[in-house]
Amino acid sequence: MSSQIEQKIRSLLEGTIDFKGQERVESLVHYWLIFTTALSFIVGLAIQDISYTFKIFFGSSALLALVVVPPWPFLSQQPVTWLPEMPPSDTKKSQ
Amino acid sequence: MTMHSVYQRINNLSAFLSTCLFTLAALIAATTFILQPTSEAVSTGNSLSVDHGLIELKRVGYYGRGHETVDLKFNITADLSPIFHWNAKQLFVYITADYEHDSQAKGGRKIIDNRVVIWDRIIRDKESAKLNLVNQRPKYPLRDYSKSWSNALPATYTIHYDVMPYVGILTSGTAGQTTNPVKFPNKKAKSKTW
Repeated sequence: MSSQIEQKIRSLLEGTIDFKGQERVESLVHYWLIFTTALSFIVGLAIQDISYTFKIFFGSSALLALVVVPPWPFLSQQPVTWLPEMPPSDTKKSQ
Repeated sequence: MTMHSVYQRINNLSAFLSTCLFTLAALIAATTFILQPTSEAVSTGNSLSVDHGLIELKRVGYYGRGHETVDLKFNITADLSPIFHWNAKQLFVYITADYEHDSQAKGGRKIIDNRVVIWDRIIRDKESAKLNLVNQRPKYPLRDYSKSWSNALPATYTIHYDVMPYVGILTSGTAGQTTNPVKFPNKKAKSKTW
């Protein structure tokens, strides 16, 4: 009973996603952060206030972390499909 | 088969986040060189005038006969608000007296350059960057290292400023100067000030 709960907690913390999801996360992080950096720089420069630059930068980064870190269902939509189980071969005979 | 776990995604995100943050910091630091006005631009319209009074004998601490201290008053009209761009956190403004000291007393002619800070102020925002001071007395007494003003040549007073940025390097400049060198008085005050 306790080991079941333990396993559930562990898998929740591990939060694995599928391979397509990983690809999606990596490109999302890349483009989002480049866009955020450019946007925060331009906004701060335009209104001549550096506090807006850092508010936008860290605010947007926190939002990104919320989107990519938890194992949301949209990151596990194409799970790996395994081949059907092969019939048992006679390994004992060949030995 | 290993798939990316929560920790690997956090790592992926934070690694690229730090790269972006440093890029952003470098960009901000670079704008300082474009946005900051030159010393010439800051100096226009500013004025500094200094009037020397008498030389007073002021004692430092408890012992000794005292230092010859120049009693002076100065007027500033300066607008330093153009320096405040988005990356300027605060200004350190100070006035120096620059003069040469002709010390013939200890053998031979020897000209020594001197720079003494007589006043300073920290300016934190654009609103307080307009200086309009009349008959201001120095914050720090103007004393010479040799304890005497008899060999000092006329002094030039200059307004200096250091710009402390949020990100990047400390830059500095000057924001005005006395139009003519100011002669030091050779009269001494009759009464001792202690």
